[in-house]
Amino acid sequence: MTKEKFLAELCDILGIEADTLKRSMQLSSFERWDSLSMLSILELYDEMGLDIEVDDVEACQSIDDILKLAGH
Amino acid sequence: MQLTGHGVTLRSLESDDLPMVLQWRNSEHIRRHMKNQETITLEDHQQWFQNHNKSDDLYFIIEIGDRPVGLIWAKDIHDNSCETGFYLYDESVQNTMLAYRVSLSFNDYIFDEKQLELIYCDILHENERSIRFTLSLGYKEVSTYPEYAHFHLNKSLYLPRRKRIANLLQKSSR
Repeated sequence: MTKEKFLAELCDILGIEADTLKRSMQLSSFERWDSLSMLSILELYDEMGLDIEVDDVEACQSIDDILKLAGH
Repeated sequence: MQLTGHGVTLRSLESDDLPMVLQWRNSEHIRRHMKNQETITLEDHQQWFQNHNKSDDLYFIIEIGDRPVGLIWAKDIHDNSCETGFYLYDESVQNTMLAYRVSLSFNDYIFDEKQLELIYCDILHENERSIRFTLSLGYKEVSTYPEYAHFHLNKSLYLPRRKRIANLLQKSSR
C-alpha cells in the first residue's frame, strides 16, 4: 500500500479531509479516535502484512506515531 | 461467577459494588447516553438490585486486573433472546480496545454458554460513537424510533466479525 493510499484510508477512518491532516496532530483531538478507529487501523496494518500489536496502536499519541508504525 | 477471556475479567455484580455502580450510573458522562437519564436514588438502586437477584438478569463488573472500570449486562432473558448493554466508567480505558475485549468475552458467553440466539440493544441517535461500535460487531439496525434505534445480533452475524476482531486482538502482549 502506498503512503498516499494509507493516508487516504487513515483520513477516512478519522473522518477528516485529507488536506487537513498533519503528522503533528494529536489523536485525542479527533472525535473519531476510539476503539473502532483503532480496530480499523489494526486492520489496515494487517492488510499491509505488518505485524503490529494492539498495545502499539493503543500507545499512539499522534498521527506521526501511526505513520511510523506503517513505516512512513 | 467470573468470566475471563480476551484479556479482561467479568465478575458477577455483588451488593458491595452497589455504591460504586450508583455513582457510575449517575455520572454525567454515563447518564447522558441512557434512555432513562434521570438520576437514580439509593433507594431505587437497592430495590433494583433486590429485583435483579430474583431475576435471570446478568450483571458483571468489568475489571482490568483488580480495578473495576465498568458494567455489562444482559436482561429480559426470554425466548432465547436478551437485551444487552455496557459502559466503561473509567475514562482512561475509553480510547482503548477494551470495549472489544469486553464485548467478545460477553457475547461468547451469551451465545456459547447461555445458548441464546438473539442479542438486541437500543442506542440513542446522538450516541454516534456507540452506534458505529455496535455495527462493527455485526449488529444490524432493525428499527428506529424518535429517540433511539434498535439493533439485533445473532450468531451468524456475529461469528465472522468475532473471528476477525479476535485475530487482531491476539496481536497483543496481554
